[in-house]
Parts: sequence; C-alpha cells; structure tokens
Amino acid sequence: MGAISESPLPFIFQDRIIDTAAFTQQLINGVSLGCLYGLIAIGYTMVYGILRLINFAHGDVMMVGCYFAFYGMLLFTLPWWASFLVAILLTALLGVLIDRGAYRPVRNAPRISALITAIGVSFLLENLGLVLFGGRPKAFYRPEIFSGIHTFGEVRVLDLHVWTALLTLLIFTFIYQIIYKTRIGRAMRCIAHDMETTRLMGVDLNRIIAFTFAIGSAAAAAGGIMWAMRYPQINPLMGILPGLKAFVAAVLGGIGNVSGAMLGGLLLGLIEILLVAARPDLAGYRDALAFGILILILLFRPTGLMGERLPE
Amino acid sequence: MLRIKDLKVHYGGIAALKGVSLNVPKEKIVTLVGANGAGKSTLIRTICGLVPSESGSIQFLSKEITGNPPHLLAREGIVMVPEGRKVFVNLSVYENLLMGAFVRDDRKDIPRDIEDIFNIFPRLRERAEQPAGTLSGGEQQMLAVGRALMSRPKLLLLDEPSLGLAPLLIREVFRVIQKIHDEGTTILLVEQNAMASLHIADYGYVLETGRMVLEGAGPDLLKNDRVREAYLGETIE
Repeated sequence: MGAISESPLPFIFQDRIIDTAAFTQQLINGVSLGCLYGLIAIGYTMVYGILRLINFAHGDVMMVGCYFAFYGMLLFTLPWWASFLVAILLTALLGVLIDRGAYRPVRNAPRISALITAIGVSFLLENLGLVLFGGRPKAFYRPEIFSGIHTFGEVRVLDLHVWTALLTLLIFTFIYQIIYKTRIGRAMRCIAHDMETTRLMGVDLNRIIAFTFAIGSAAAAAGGIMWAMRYPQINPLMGILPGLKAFVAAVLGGIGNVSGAMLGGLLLGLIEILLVAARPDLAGYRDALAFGILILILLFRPTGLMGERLPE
Repeated sequence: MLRIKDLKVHYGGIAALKGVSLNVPKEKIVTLVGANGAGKSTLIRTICGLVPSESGSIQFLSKEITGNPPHLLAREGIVMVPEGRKVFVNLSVYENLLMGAFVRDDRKDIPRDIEDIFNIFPRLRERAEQPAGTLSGGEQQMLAVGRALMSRPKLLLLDEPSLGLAPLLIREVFRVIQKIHDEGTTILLVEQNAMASLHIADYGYVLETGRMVLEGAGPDLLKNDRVREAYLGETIE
C-alpha cells in the first residue's frame, strides 16, 4: 500500500471504494460520538464563559458520574434509570462542591492559580478513583432498551446511538433555554460579560457560579454514562481523553458559547470517525488529530467557529 | 438616609479616602464634586460594597452596612449607575431592563415598570430588541439609568453620568435626574461637571485628594470662590 494515494477521491479509501452504506454508517457513529463530546464540552464552555477558567477536572467529574451510576446499580440495586438519574444529580452536586472547596478560595487570585487548582483537582479525582474504585476496568451495564440493533440495508443502527442523539438534543435544548430564556440564565450571560456590574444588579455571583457548575457537571455525567454504555466499561482514567477532546470541541466551537460547544463536539466526532474510516492505517493518530485541530484553531481562529465578537 | 462617618479606604495601594463623612437625607439630591483622582469614584464604590473600607462607618436607614457585599446592598435598595454606563452590550435593551429588576420579588409588575421606563426614554422602546452594544453613548446612559430605576431604588448613586456625552445630552441627563428626584428617589450624584450638578443639588460636598474640603447648600457652593475657581474655571480677582 503506497504512502501517497493517487485515488481520484483522496479523502476516501485508498484501495476500496467507500459506498453510501459504509459512509452512512460512519456518519451515524460520528454524530453519536460527537454528541458525547458536545455534552461534555458544554460544561467546559459554560464555566469558561463565566470564570475564564478551564476546568481541567471536568473530564474526571464525568468519570466519577459514571461510577455513581455503576455503584447505584450494583450496590444499591437501583433500577438503571433511577441509578442514572441519581448519578446525574450527585455529579451536579460534586461539581458544586468542587467549586466551593477548590475554586472559590482562589476566585480573586491570578487566573493561573485557578488553572493549577483545576489540574490539581483533576489529579485528585483520578487518583482517588484509582484508590476507591480500583484501577481495573469495570463492565458497565447497558440496559436492554439501548442494546437493540436495527439493520437498514447494510447500515446497522444501535439503539444507543438513537437515544444518544435524542437525549443530547433534549439536554442541549434544556440548557439553551435556561441560558437564553430564564432570569438565572440572563444573570449568567451578564456575569460572562461584566462581573462587577452584575453584582450591582443584586446578583449573588457565587450562587450563579454554583448553578453553572451544577448544570455543566450534570451534562457531563449524562454524556459520561452514555459513553460508558458505548464501550461498555469504565475505569478511573476514562475521563482524561474525552475531557481533553471535549475541551478541543469547546475551543473549536468558540469557547464561552454553548451552541458552539455542541457544534464543535459534533464536528470533532465526525472528523475523527471519518478519518479512521477513510484511513484505517492512520487510526492511531485519531487523538493527535484532535489536538492538531486545537493548535490550528488557536493559531488561525482563536475565537472558534461561533466565538463572540461583540459590538462595543 | 445614608450616613458616612470618617471613612478610610485604601485603593490600589494608596490612601484614596482619608476620613470622609457625608450625609444624604431622604428625598434629597446630594452631589459630590471634585477633580479626577480626588476619590469620588472610590467613595461611591465603597458605598455599594465593591471596594472594602479600612475604618469608619456607613449607615443606611440607620443600619450599619459597612462591608456588606454588593448584591445584598442592591436588595436593600442601594443601586448604582456605574461610570462609563456599563450596560450589558450582549443583551438586548429589554433584557438589560429585566436585569435591573433582578432583585425584585414582584415579578408581575415588572413589564409595567419597563413600560414606564420606555415612556421616560422613548428611544429605548424603539430599540428594545437590539443588543445594548448597538446603542449610542447617550442611549446607553439612558439605558443604564433605566436599568437602575427598574430595581425601584431607595438610594440611587450616579457615577459621572454626564461623562463623555455631548452638551445637549448632558442637559437631557440632568433633566432626567431632576425628574427621578421629583418622583421621590434619593440621589447621590458624583460629577466632574460641578456647574450642572450643583444647580440641581440640595446639598453639595467638595472632595479633594481623599478629604472633604467644603460642603454646603448647592447654590451657596456655586457662589463660593474656591469652587468657582477650581471647578467652574472662573478667575477670581
């Protein structure tokens, strides 16, 4: 197989003609993966928009959310849906607690202190996870409802993919409505723009910030649980790569913008899957691809695709 | 209503206020004039809790409020129109007014009050759905005042409302301030424009490098030689 392909469709397979069915199949996989990146990216982007903090612990919060769901079913023998819901709520609480315990004390310190704190929290969660949950991956239960497979011609659609897309749409719409249609969302957008003046309006910053962490962490938990069902296993370091890629997605979409985060997530998922499909020999570079995109975006369009350029 | 005693504040490493006392009686307009860097903004920012004080006391409605955070003071009824307007440029005009009403619990009355604001400032009604960032400087000032009024303040603090506006607009701003006052709101006005602000004030203070050097009824201060020389640009023989 030559290193340089002379194929008339350079993006498509070198020695196979990709057919519509295979392409559709990869499109579905890409969208489904992209939804998960998007859900996790929402938390990055909301926290960044308000605090100018890249919450590097976000991926690990997602991981803890998966373990909550896991133990909810295993230890407390909750039905899967109850366990997932409780896990999402607990993860929201975890996000609030992390803010309260780790970020609030350095709120007025230079931004780099908060960033280092975030990295510290990330390490803490990962290593606490290794100690408490053990390093060995655990099989994650995928409920019946998500396990069915439908075949359309040669395209196979896993129920989980359909549910992922539907739930992502639902969660995204919900968060979007909160941000753009409610009083508390209005306060969030004001804080993002001018913290001091927002305080003068009678807004308790800490409450709004706590709420932001709750929403972002809940979305990450939802994404994480779907991630866990996809593979279907979990381990204490599982949050690192999805976390970093969701961060890339947030930057790609324009950090600070939730629609951008979702768009960035979908694009990243699609690009990644299509690369692997088109050039299986390059599959090992799929993570490098994401970070390559990050570097390019930061070089050529730091505001991302939907980054805000405000009229002053 | 507002009673400040011997307030000392350090700001940015320097003594910005070196023992300042000031009273704002209910339903009066009190104005604070002084040159750039005299400490006017520091004083007003300390009153709303944005800047911590070192010593001294601030009482509002006979209650000690020194050290309270801004969001609680806003709930108490102390609301500031910040220097440079500081409207939320990414929100629409209408949303800016809603933000002003953030502290209110009587949500049903909010649309009616917004209607009232639109009657005072008809330009804002025309632009209700536009992002506030697209407004002109004068319109933004109107919006900043309207936003503050939406909270139904007991004490309205205005920090340099005429700064950077054309003369015609300045007159309009002072007319509106007078009108708000006539409707019963207590006002503390901080201004470099001593002439206009002392004209509408019941009482005035002159702040120089962190100390009150003069105080008196508005018209009396206007006649004062020192004020006329330093702030009204007149030469005294």
